Formats: sequence, structure tokens, C-alpha cells
Amino acid sequence: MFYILALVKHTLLENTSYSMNEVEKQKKLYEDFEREAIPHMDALYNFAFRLTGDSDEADDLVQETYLRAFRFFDKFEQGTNCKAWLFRILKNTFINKYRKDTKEPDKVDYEEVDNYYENIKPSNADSAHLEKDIYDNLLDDEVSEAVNSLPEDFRTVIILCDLEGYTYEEIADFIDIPVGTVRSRLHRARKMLFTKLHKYASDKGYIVKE
Amino acid sequence: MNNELITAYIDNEISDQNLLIQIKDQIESDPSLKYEYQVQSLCKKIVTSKVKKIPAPESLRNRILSEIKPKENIQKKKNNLILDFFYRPSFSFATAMIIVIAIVLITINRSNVNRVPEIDITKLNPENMFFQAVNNYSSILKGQLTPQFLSNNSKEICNYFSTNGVNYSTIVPEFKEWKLLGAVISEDKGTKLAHHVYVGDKNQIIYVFQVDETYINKLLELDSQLINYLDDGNCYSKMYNGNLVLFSKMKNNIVAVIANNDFDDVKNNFCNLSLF
Repeated sequence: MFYILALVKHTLLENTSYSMNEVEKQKKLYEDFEREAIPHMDALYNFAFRLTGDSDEADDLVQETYLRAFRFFDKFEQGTNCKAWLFRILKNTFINKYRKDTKEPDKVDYEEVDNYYENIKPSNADSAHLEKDIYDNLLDDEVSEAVNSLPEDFRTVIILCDLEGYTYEEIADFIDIPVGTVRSRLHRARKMLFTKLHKYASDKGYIVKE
Repeated sequence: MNNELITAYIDNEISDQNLLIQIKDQIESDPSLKYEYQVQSLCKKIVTSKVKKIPAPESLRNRILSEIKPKENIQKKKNNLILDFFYRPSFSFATAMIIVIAIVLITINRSNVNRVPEIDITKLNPENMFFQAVNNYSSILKGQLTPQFLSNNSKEICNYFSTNGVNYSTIVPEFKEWKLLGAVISEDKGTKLAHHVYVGDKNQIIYVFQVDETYINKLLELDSQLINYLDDGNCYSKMYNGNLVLFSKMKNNIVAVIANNDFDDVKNNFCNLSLF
């Protein structure tokens, strides 16, 4: 028994020095993480807010993203694109957390969008409804609501490109899709957004129907 | 002209000067293209001016930093407290026994956390990725499924996937043990999925089926215990009908690998490729 106790004591003493090394390692990891990953929090939070549409959920999503990233930070290759890595984790966390129970992806009635789009297309050179001034009458919240109502894949590219100003290549890297898909999603997303904004502006009477 | 080029033109994504001039000319001369240009640039302007960026709250930043900050002092204190305890007279044989039993119980519980999931293939649906991978492999061996695109170059295969409707990034590693044979694109409910095959000198056939992890639960099924096991950075392998079935995660893709030989090499190569 004394032998066991001595062994336990010896092991504990050894563990103490081991723990000290571990603490040093953790401290270094924390400092690297604070320098590399934390500065991207505003961009991630904004993206999370637009994805979830709720500040509490955005808080949770960003917190979970950072805790997860820190857990795997020792495997992260220093010097590679940390921001893209964080965006990928956030997107995956969002998918796992909020979409786990949803089997069907977002469905979009493209035909309806295309029909509306074609109907408002001017037959002559008159394109008065394309004046930015008309849409300046819309409230910021109304535009945000229109963006938030886009299907997730399309909302994502609009936020990353038009709001955050990332290049197609960066977006492709963030959400892990080919550059060509970024371009085609953006094209469709803006068409969808335009039909929504046009409907809002018409309903409010900013656009006079012919 | 592809209207999507107008989108790229607005976003300053066209680097080819000739194409840039060509697009500009066409926008000016074709009313329909001009309309597309106006719509696309109007939307960009509206989003830029009307949708506000929301910065992360300071409280969130502080909470995250405090969660991950190493607990140096607490750790030191804890260790000293444990050591002090052993010098106390109340430390008896019974206490030692309790500690030993507790350690054993903790060890047993910890081993359950990372337990390898049990998968019974006879109970799987046809929509299950495991089921589909095994079935596809069997079709390859019978010669019922042959590559639609033959190439031993990983870049060519990735390019084949991305230009033929596979809407996720694919990873096609090259190995010295086996040569790439080619690729197949399958379609499930309108979604294109990527498969590729390697062959070895001794009739080894290694088949790889990879899907973006977001397709799991939407398009394909996979045991949730297995997903968690892979998410924790593990590699799953099981022998089935004399073949090795291996599941791993490469970047954002869930990857199923099936091989009829070289089992250790397959495990080493594909498990070591796992990236978060």
C-alpha cells in the first residue's frame, strides 16, 4: 500500500511539471489565437447575424465557432488563410446546429422569380424603375429584410460580396464552392433581390404602375 | 454572351482586358444586356448603402477570450491542494481505494466517448451513404459501373467534377501505391455527386465516394454517431465482405473509401489526409 501511495505521489509530482509545460503550451496557443483569429470577429459576427437573423443566435454561433476553432487551432497551419478557415467553421457549425433536422434544402421558385423579372423588364428604353432614388425611399430595415428573406446560399454570397467586399476567390474559399458557382449564385441572388425590392417599392407607391 | 459575365464585370472580377472591352461594348449596344447591367449594379449599390455592418458586441469578445484563456493559477493551486491532501492524516487505505475505483470508472467512461460506432449494414436504407458506397463498389467489381472520365491526373479529375455539375470542392489525392483510373458523376434528386477510382499493380481497386458534409441529412443519410466520430477527427474502418470500408473527413467532405487489398496502406493514406 505504501508503495502504491509513493507511486501516486511520484506520479502527481511528475504531472505537476507536465502540467506546467502544458500551461506554457496553452499560453502560447492562446496568444497566437488572439493575434490570428480574434481580429476577424466583426466580419464573422456580421455574417452570423445575417445567417441567423437574430443577435442572440449570432452570439451563440460566433462563440461556438471560436471555441471549436480554438480546440483545433494546434492543427491549423499557421500562415494559411485563418479568416477563410474561421468562415468555414462558422458555416459548418451553422449547418450542424440549425439545419440538422431539416432534410430539404431551401427551395426557390425560380420560375416565379423569372416571370416577375421578365414582366417588369421595360419594353422600350424607359427604365425609370431602375433609378436608385426610388429605392432610396425604402427603409434600411426593409432592404435588410429583403436580403434576409433570400434563400441561405444566395444570401450568403450577397453578404460576403456586396456587404463585406470579398472577391469571388475569397468567397469560394470561405464557403468551399467553385468560383464559377459564386458568380452564378450572385447573378441569381441579385435578380431575386431586385424582384423583392421592386415589389416593396411598388406596394409603397414609389413606382407608378403603367 | 453569358449574362453572368455582367455580374463579374460589375464586381471587377474580369481580368482579361479584351473581354472587359467586349462586355462593355455589348452592354452599350444591347438594351437587354444594358437592363441586366442596370439591375445587377443597382442591387449592389442598394445593399452597400442600405444594409449596415453589425460589429461583434464587446461582451461577446470578452466572453470568448475568457473561455479560452489558459487557467494557469487555478491549475497550480489545484495541484498543490491534491499534494497537500496526501500529507494529511485522514488519508487512509479506504481513501486510496476510492481514488483507484474512481480512476477506473473515469477511464471506462472516457473510452466510451470515443467508442467506434457499430454499424449494421443490413439495417441501412438505400439513401444511406455507407449502403450506397458498398453497392457502388460491388457494381465496379462486377463491371456494371465504369468510369465516365478516364484520367490518372488528379487536377483533371477535379476539373471534370467542377465543370460537370458537382457543386462542391473535391479532393483527389495521388498516391505512389496506386494510379488514378478515372471518375464517375452520379445524380441523386438532381444533385451531382463525385466518385473516383484508383487501381494498383496487383488488381487492387480503391474506390472513393465524397460528398459535401452539408448533403448529409439533406440528400444522403449517415449514422449520427459515425458523423460525430468523424467530427472528432477520427477515421472509421470496418471489414465488410472481405473489403475494407473506411470513412474519413477531408476538409468539408465526408469521404467513403472501399478497397479490396492493401488495407494498411489505405488506412494510412486516407486517415492521414483528414483535415479539419
